Amino acid sequence: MGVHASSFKSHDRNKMFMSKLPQIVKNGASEETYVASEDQVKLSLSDESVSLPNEIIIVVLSFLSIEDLQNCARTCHLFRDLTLSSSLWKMKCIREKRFPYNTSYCPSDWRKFYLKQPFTRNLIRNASGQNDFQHWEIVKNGGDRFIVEPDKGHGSGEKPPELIALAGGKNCNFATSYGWCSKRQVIDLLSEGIEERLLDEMQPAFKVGEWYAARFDCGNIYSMKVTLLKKNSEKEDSIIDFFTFGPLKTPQWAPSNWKEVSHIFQDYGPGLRYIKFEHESKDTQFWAGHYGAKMAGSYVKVTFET
Amino acid sequence: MPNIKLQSSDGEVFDVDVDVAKQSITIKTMLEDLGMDEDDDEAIPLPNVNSAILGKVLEWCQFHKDDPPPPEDEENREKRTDDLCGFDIDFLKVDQGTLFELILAANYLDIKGLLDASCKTVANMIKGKTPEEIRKTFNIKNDFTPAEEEQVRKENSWCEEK
Amino acid sequence: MAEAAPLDDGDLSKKQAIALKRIDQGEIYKQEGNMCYREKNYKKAIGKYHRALLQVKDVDRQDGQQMLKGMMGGVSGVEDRSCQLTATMAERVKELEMSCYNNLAACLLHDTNPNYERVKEYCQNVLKLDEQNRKAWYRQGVALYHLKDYEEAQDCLNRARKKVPKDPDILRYLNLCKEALSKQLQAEKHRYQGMFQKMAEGEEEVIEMDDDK
Repeated sequence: MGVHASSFKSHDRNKMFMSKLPQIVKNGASEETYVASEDQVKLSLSDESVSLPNEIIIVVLSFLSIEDLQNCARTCHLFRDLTLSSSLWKMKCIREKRFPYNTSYCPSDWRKFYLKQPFTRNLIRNASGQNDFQHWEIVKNGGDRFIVEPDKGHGSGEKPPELIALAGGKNCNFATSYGWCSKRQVIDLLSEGIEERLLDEMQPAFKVGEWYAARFDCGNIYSMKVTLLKKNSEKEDSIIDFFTFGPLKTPQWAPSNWKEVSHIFQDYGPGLRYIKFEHESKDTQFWAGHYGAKMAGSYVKVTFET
Repeated sequence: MPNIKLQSSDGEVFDVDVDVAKQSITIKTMLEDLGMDEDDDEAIPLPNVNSAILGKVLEWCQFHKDDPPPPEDEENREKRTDDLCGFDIDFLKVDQGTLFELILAANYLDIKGLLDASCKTVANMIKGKTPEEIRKTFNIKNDFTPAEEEQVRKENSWCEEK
Repeated sequence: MAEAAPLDDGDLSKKQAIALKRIDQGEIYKQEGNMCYREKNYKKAIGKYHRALLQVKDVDRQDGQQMLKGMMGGVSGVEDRSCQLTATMAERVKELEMSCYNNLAACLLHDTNPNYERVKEYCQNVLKLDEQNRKAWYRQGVALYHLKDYEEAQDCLNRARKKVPKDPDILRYLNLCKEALSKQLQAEKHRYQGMFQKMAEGEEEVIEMDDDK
């Protein structure tokens, strides 16, 4: 029994250890001994060594990607069960900031919540036309109709980086014509992975908005509207709240830089199930082509900054 | 500088700086309850940890004693498994039995930083491996029937929404 | 398949024998702690109780892997029988933990400036093991009173009363809570009266009152 001095000399310590430990291994490769493990499953290397309790295996698993977890699930029953445990997915959600840590609300299925990650992604799909007109319902297609400008907004300013990021890095946008071009997208919050209890009790705030730009050489009228709905219906009694911007008339020769409009919905009360996003524009000169407003980066996102 | 005496399961007594020992929340809590008194100089037995492992643990605590305390919540724990500091990477280049014992000791003494670092190290041993390779690394017996194995392989409920 | 765990301490594996020694030592520390407490040496008692807890912490887990309890509806064939505790041992561990946390709470309350949050934490540890534990409910109530959470304190104190409705200590604290709550109410009333006063004198802008909603 020795009493060690309080100033820790790690060099000395290491010398002590070298004599006690078997050879140091690098990167997990080692001389493995295969042991007939009977009916037992052990996370261990030899039948003498230590194995880990399940809650610690879960901490280990929490550092793995989905792909690695899938491979773990295929190794044996224990691992498969552990990869489905809710404490694992809760750990991942909170560590990877897919769910806030400082709230007593929680999803009933952490794994599903992690995979759907509704609190961390833009719930609007195809925000800038990177996937043509998928997920958008075109309501009016006047003049030379809606188009997608795939490589840049012709006649408008440079897009800021955060706008390009909303399209997954693509410099694309929608453009409108000399007749009304109007489209919309309705988000079904339940199918996006936010369960009723969270919507009704937690009432996470939603930041909604998008970017718009005029062409330098032509005026336009532009408006957008976001509506919080109880049901996916046009009836008055389905509406919980809404935000409108415009109609904004931009004159010819006005600045053509990209501008952002945004709004935060919060404390909207129980019953929210859908969010409808709609916008429209046409030019003011009645020119053939696409001289109306351009739109890009439409977003509906849960936010915790209020 | 106040000291505290920690005794391993095999009877060895370690005379340790209080600041080093307080990285163990278990010890820190006890010291807070005692009001940091000298406590009659009586050693604190830690029957779950042997001297070799306790020494390693204290070495880790010594190195990390000036680290800012980890945040109370889990929010700020790192996700990526490849961002251990240089000291930890070298420190954890040990045989896997020792690695597991370090994990159990960190869990027993409630030392979050060491627990995370050592669990990440084990996670790194799993990263990128096929199921069969994972089984070999950890001596796991495949207790799936061929039918079950096929079923698990085909499971498609793992898709992530982007 | 492996055999079932032994029900008594008669036939132990090596690891179980080590566990037994730790439980014995834990109980010794607890007794020493109790002696210190009786002698009003609270700091020393605290040290003993913590040492007792360190003996039994993870005692069922040394070198072992837990069964997957109740998850996915069944056992996945995983057990390290060699250090699973016998029923007697498990019971002793539970009793020991409960006593120690209760007694720690009691010791902390004797401090000149008690850490009421810690008292609350220790009481909750007891209640996790035994949700009827009268002492834990009582002490938690006391802690909550001092943390000014009077309503929660009353809840706890009333739960402590269930078996001993006339306990004088519990009644005393319930009274203290009652008084504190009524003082709070008075203070609120004063604040509103102040507001009305100022309104009458035309000083403050009108403040909306919620009672009409």
